[in-house]
Amino acid sequence: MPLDYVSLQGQIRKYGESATLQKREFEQKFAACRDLFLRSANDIAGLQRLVEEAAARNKVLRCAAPVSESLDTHLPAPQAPSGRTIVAADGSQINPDSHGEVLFALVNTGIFTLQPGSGAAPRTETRSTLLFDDALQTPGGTVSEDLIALLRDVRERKLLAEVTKDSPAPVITLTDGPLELYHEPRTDRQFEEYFRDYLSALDDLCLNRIITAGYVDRPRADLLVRMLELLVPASAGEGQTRPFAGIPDRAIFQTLLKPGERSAVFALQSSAAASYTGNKALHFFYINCGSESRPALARVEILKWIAEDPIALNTLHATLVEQARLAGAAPYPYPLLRAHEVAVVRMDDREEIILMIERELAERGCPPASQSFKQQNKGFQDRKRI
Amino acid sequence: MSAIAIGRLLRSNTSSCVIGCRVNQQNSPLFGEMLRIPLSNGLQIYGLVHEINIDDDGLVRQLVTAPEVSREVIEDNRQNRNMPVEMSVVFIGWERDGRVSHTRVPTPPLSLDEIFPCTASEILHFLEGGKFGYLRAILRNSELPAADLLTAHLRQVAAARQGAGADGVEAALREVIALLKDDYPVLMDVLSAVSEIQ
Amino acid sequence: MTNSSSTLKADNAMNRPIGYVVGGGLKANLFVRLTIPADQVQEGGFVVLESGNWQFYGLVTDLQLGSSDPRYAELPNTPRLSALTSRLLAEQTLFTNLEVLPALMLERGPAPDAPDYADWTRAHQEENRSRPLPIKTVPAHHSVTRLASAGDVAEIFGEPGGANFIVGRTREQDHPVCIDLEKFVQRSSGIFGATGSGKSFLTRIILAGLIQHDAASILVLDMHNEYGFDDTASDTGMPVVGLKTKFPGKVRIVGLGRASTIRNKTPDLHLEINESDIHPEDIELLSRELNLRETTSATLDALVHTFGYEGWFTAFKNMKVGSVIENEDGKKVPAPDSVAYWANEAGANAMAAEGLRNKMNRVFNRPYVMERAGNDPAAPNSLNHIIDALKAGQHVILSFGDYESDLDYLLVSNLLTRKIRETWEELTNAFRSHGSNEPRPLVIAVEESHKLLNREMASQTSFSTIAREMRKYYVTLLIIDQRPSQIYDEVMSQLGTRVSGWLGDENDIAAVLSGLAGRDALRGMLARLQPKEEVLLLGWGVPMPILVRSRRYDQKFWEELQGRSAPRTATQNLKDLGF
Repeated sequence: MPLDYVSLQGQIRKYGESATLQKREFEQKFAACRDLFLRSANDIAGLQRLVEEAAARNKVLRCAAPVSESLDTHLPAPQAPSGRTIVAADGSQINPDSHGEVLFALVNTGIFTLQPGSGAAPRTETRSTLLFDDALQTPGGTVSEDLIALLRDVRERKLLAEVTKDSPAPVITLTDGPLELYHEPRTDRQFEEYFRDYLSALDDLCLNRIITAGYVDRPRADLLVRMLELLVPASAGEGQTRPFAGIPDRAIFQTLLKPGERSAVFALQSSAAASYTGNKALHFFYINCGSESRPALARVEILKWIAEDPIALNTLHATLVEQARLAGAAPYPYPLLRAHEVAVVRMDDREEIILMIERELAERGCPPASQSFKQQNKGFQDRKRI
Repeated sequence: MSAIAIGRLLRSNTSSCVIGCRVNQQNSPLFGEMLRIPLSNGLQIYGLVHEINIDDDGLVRQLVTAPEVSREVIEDNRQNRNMPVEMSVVFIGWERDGRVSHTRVPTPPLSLDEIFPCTASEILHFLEGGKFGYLRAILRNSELPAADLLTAHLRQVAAARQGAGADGVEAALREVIALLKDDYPVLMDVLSAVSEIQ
Repeated sequence: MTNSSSTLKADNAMNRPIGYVVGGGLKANLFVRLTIPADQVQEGGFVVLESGNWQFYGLVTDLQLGSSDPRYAELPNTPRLSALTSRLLAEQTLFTNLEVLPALMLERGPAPDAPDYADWTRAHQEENRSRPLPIKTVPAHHSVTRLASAGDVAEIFGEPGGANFIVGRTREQDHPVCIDLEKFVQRSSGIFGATGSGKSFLTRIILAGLIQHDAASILVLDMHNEYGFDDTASDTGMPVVGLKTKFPGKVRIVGLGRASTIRNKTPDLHLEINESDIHPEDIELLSRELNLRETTSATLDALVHTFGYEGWFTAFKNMKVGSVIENEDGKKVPAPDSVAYWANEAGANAMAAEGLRNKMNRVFNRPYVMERAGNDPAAPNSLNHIIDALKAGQHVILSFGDYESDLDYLLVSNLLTRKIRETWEELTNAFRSHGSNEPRPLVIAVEESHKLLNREMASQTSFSTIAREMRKYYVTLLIIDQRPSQIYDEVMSQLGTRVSGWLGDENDIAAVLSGLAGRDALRGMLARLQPKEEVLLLGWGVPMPILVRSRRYDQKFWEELQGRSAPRTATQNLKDLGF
């Protein structure tokens, strides 16, 4: 009997009771929030000022700020121009395994290029980078998964810049997740270096007028909601609970955006985002790529120049809707789907690389130490027939 | 199959194996195709693909629910996407130090191995090792689709022996008849399938 | 010592295998799986089976279609299968088996380059050439089978030339098949075949061979005047050369009766019969013809008793039936010259005697029966003349001319043969006891022999005696007949060599095969011979039964027989071809 089901039943019941309570609370809060949203929809200037002042007071403030469109803007997808090239990039990694036979890490980046309306087969490309020796060492020990993930993101961006350099406009590049690198702020040299590379790649993309976007599926952000909270006078001294805590932005936009529509473009207010300067300043909008029966909200992060270029913005909008619809029942831009597929490293691949490294070392007369005890034991579980 | 595949042995013994690998439509294995699997101990195993199972691809299932499927998506799926495939391969012989034998393989493949489709000259090289005795292994195994497998295989042999005309498959047909003479229904089944070739 | 394998090897190179042995045995026949198309081998083919150091010789008596599974034979494959596949399938599942009647075996030893050659040669040093033996064992499984080569045929039947007379050629490869005429005349033989099967031509060929070779004198009882003078073939209308034309000095044609002409030509001799030569048994022979009664023997006996062997016939002839005179009492009594008178005197039954006298009129009336033929210079004692001619080595063809009735045939043939028997017995006894010259062998060729040699007559005629015993006395029969079933089986069994053309009647077929063990296989063959083309040679006088394409009786035949010194032998032919 692995679990104590009897007592758990009681506990689950409590869970249910709590959930019901929560739901009621949420509904109340949400109604208020939505109401506020609608009421203040047109107060763009006011809101901008509010955000500026709040940011000055609170260094860790992270919220949206309107740009020029009213809050409740919702625009249908325009016609997509012809001759577009869409390039999506995704990455995956193998983390170093200190228990394994050989110590290495791998970053694998997949590129998927599609030209809608051309009838041509899309192109795929893979770039794999092996990390070993020094690349795996930091002053603090073996390099962390986080750092490798950062490297991965950097690679994606740089690759996008590279492959789109000479492509004729319009070119749209997509990545999964926000454009903002979200990693714990580090001050070590490696992190700084990677971050600089990243920004440099973004610069290249801007320079070449490549419509760069980050697609966040099932967004949990509450940037807009936090902005709305600024409108609510702070309750005096009653703890720190936020008035609209737990309400994500998408709850609002789900009721607002019809299939194919986008919301207003917002600027991203955050100290971390401050590094993204000039044309690269981070903006975003929400978009419904789903259908009447099943809305599919996504948050799309873009760079400033795109927010200010209606043609680029429309191209992006149209492209996202078009491409997300291709994926069928679970809307998600097809190129991103495929880029992910291309990038993913499977078990067989992992094992093959290990084999290849072992063979190389063995041929050179420095075979690896035998498998660690732990690893060997793991391996035994797979055997079915002796 | 038009390219090397890296296959993972899912099951294997001295007479057959099942390999899992990813291939796209253009380089997917063909039913009846002859393959070779070089092992690390200097042994090379030859086999025929007798079943290809294509696993359910979640993405494709999803794609077909879209209101439209664009041309690019179709081409993408045709040419680029790799599908997980399980190939069942029946062994027909092996080779060591250049000497081919049409008997049961001494050791089965053990782990992860590269699989190569046989070129015409490799097929001819293999055939030189005997007189189609390996057909016994195929015909006597009631779980294999003998008639269809033989037909596909002989087609490949005939193509490899281009120029040799009907002689190419005559020796094989003789062996088939000799092996199945006492089993009229199976022999007629196999021969009528094979008759489709010429 | 010659190793016969060297000659045979040369032939083997020219003879490809036609199959291999798969089963069978001594009692039943052997079975050979054909490896060539069935239409290239026919019933009656002469085949050789090679097994180790032995060669087996046999005759193809049957061909059977077989299959490894009847479904392969029944199903027409072509709609379902490609031409190539059908062919390959047929090769392995459908086959034809030959049934081979094995007859002889010959040890030929290993090849000169085989390891056991030296040992074998040493072991067989003492023997002369090995001879073919009657089959005693069987060839091994998978023994290679091939058609007989000229060498094989010569090995068994002899090389043509000398006493070996070509009677025909093998059907498949045209190799000459011979009969040894020296041996042939030492035993009785028969030529059979249904009407129109070419029997007379066959007879002409054999007679020509015999006359040419001259090992024996021939007496031909030519009932239908066929053999002596030139004739015309009834079906083609072509001229047929007569034996007299070709052997003018050696052949004498005898015509029955003084003024006889045979085919508008005058014979060399006219045959007349002395009344004194006719014995009672000659009359008894004619019982059926004359419709005589059981009382005949008694009457004849009485006649001989009264008048003696030499006079009874004339005396009986001169008697009158029913002549009466009046006696003293005025009663009608038999006249002294009447049959009744004699019968009463002799103690014979008068009515029976009168009946006999009447019936014998047919005999008395024969124009060639003379009271005393000897006086007439035109036909001086011609029976003896015939016998003298035969003794001297000449050949006689007795043509019956216009006298075509059974009565004539029976009477004359029997008389003549009786005399011959007596003469030859004397000669033989003289030779054996007093060391005189060996008697000249004589062959009597009898047409329509069933008239003389049927069961009824068999005991009575001299023919059956000759058939049974006269070998010792240098006289044999050559029976020519289309109804062998009517011939007394004891006689049939004496026939060493039997040459048979096509026969349709089952009983005739059985008769030809009678006395020959294990020849059931040949039954069908006799019924399937091509008339006028093919004959079967069999009998214990022939090494083994063989089917031959009979020789044509034509210009070429005569050239071969007389024109050149000897027909080309197989060895000569091989030499020409460079072997």
